[in-house]
Amino acid sequence: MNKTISAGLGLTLAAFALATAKETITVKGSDTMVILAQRWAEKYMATHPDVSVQVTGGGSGTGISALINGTTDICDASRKMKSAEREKLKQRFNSLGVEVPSARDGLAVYLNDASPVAELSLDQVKDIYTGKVSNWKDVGGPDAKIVLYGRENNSGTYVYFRDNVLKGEDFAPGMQSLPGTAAVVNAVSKDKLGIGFGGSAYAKGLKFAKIKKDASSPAYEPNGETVKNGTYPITRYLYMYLKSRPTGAIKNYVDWTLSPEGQSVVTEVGYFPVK
Amino acid sequence: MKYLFATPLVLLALSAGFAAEGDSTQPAAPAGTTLEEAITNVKGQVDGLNESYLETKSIVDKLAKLKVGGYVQAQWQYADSLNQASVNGGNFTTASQERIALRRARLKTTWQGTTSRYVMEIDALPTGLVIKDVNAQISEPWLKAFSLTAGVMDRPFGFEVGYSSSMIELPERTRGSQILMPGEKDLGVMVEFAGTDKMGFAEHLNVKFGGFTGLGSALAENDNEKDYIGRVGISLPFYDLNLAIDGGFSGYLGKVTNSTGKVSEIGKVADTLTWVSLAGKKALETYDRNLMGVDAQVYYDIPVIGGISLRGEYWWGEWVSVAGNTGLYTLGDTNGVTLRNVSSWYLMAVQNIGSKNQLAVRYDVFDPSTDVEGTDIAKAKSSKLGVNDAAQSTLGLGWNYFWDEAVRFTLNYDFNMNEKVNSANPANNAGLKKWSDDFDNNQVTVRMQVKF
Repeated sequence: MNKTISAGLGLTLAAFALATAKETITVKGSDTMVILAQRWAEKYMATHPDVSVQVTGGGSGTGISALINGTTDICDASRKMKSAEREKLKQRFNSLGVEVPSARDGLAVYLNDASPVAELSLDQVKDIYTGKVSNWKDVGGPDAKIVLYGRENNSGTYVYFRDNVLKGEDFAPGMQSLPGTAAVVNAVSKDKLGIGFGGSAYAKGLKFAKIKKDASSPAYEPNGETVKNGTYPITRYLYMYLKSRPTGAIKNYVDWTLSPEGQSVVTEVGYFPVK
Repeated sequence: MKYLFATPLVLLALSAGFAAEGDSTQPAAPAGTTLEEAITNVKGQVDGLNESYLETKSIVDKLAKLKVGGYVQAQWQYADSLNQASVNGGNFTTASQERIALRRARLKTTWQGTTSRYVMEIDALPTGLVIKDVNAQISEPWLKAFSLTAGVMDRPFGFEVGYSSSMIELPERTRGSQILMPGEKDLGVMVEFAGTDKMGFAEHLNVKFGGFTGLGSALAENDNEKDYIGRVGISLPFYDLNLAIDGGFSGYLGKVTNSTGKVSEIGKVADTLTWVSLAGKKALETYDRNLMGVDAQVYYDIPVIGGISLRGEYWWGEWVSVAGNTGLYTLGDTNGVTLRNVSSWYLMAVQNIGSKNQLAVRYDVFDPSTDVEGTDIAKAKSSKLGVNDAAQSTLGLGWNYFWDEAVRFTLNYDFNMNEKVNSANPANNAGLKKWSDDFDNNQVTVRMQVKF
């Protein structure tokens, strides 16, 4: 009888522990999205105390590797997954993965507040970052060397910028690769001759260059209107990737990020909603 | 840039200064040092650290191009009988029907430059060191779609041959794949086109074509003949449906040089199907080794359960093997060659259940002599047909458990089946008696894999 009671108590405690255990969702990836992901997590956990959302950065490439290895539930990425990465996901999970566009971003070109340069064409940005133009005087600035700041190659922002702005060409070897958009912003804000690129949500202590599609087009700064209507020429989606169709707590969380409440966080952080 | 690093370092230096106040082991600042001098000192230290950081970074950037990976597969197997022939880890000995084995112990080093790549992979087993991949690759910088690879690499034939041994869902590839493409690798030169994201429909295409020695990875070329192997593959993703349909056509056009004039093929002697020696053949003549292959894979993400894939592959053609066996013929073998028509096929399903578990089932058939029925073997005492002419099939059932990102456990059961030989006259098949029925030769495998 005692054994029966003990077993019953044990089972009850185990059931109670299971029932009260916090569901943990891990999110890993894009440094561009890390502030957004943290704000989402904080707001969501405030109203869903039974769920713990753990956010880490590391870059889109790192997040995608973690998704393929099965060490994260959600991967944040500021670029699309490459076909080779999809193939790896197929091999491990027999699934193409699920892509969830969760915010829009105008990829900004950062200039120091003191820089006399106000606008650049896409070709000029390309020439600067591929090293064909290395002096500010060639793009309307002072006679001084341009100091290039950028991201490391595991960054989705790095890949997006290389593929879409540099048209697949390599960055100039002299570019200083920094481990996060915040570091790029910090560097450009302290360097009068510096130029950088990154998410438009990071805007403290510097200015955005207005960007022209070509030499004869009007120049635009990334903001809600220009990103939404497509007149700002460097826009991209920010994605969440999952290894398969989400269920349970993960589905509820992803659905919430796309809800009006979740998308209001996107705007608060400085990005643009997808809907 | 230097200011970026200066900020935290100045704070660090200042905090270290405060911490050192009560620490008698730290040298005290010289009396009379002004704040300006102290800042100059710190700035000098920061500049030094910055310089050191840039040096270290340039070394780290070089090392980042070098990737090292590998895996070990340790396993225990149990067979139905002593001395059991097996394509799952090799034949058992006359004294064993269960064994512990190290199946694979790979170490792969890859250096990836901008337009070039170096790969070396070895298999370090108790039985010796085996070279798997050793190749150099260059790729063009314009379209970034074409590459040229030279060295030892996977034969570009079919789907299963190029599928990583660390990822295969059952312990081994199919019998047909192991016999016709042993070790998967060959020495040669290959051109590959892999469509990129900006090529429209061509992004879904993958074309590989190369010339190989046809001798596998362990032998140097010994004749002028090349085996030309290629595959045209397509991969169609339907992201909205969580569905992908992949497939390919493969071709293998090769020649084998025979050291001797001994050649045999299936023929009839007095109405009895048997191996017949061909007359008038001379040494150093060549014989065709041609295969065709078609493969297809479908991937679908089933809601709640997980991803499933359905795969199938069919190979057929004419093959040149050693006398009396299905093994690859190599120059120098004085027993001559046998010419045979072969076929190999399988159907497979793999179902993921959540992110930790995976079930796999595969049925594969290898027919080493498609001109021969089981009932032709041992039909007449004069027939030279043997067990190496009987088709064999395997139903493999597997369960994979992914402990974490590095560790996988596999439990597998193989139901091995054979084409039944003629039993009408037992006197004709004394050595083949057990083959007149489906004899017991099933096998269990328990495997642990650690991959990094």
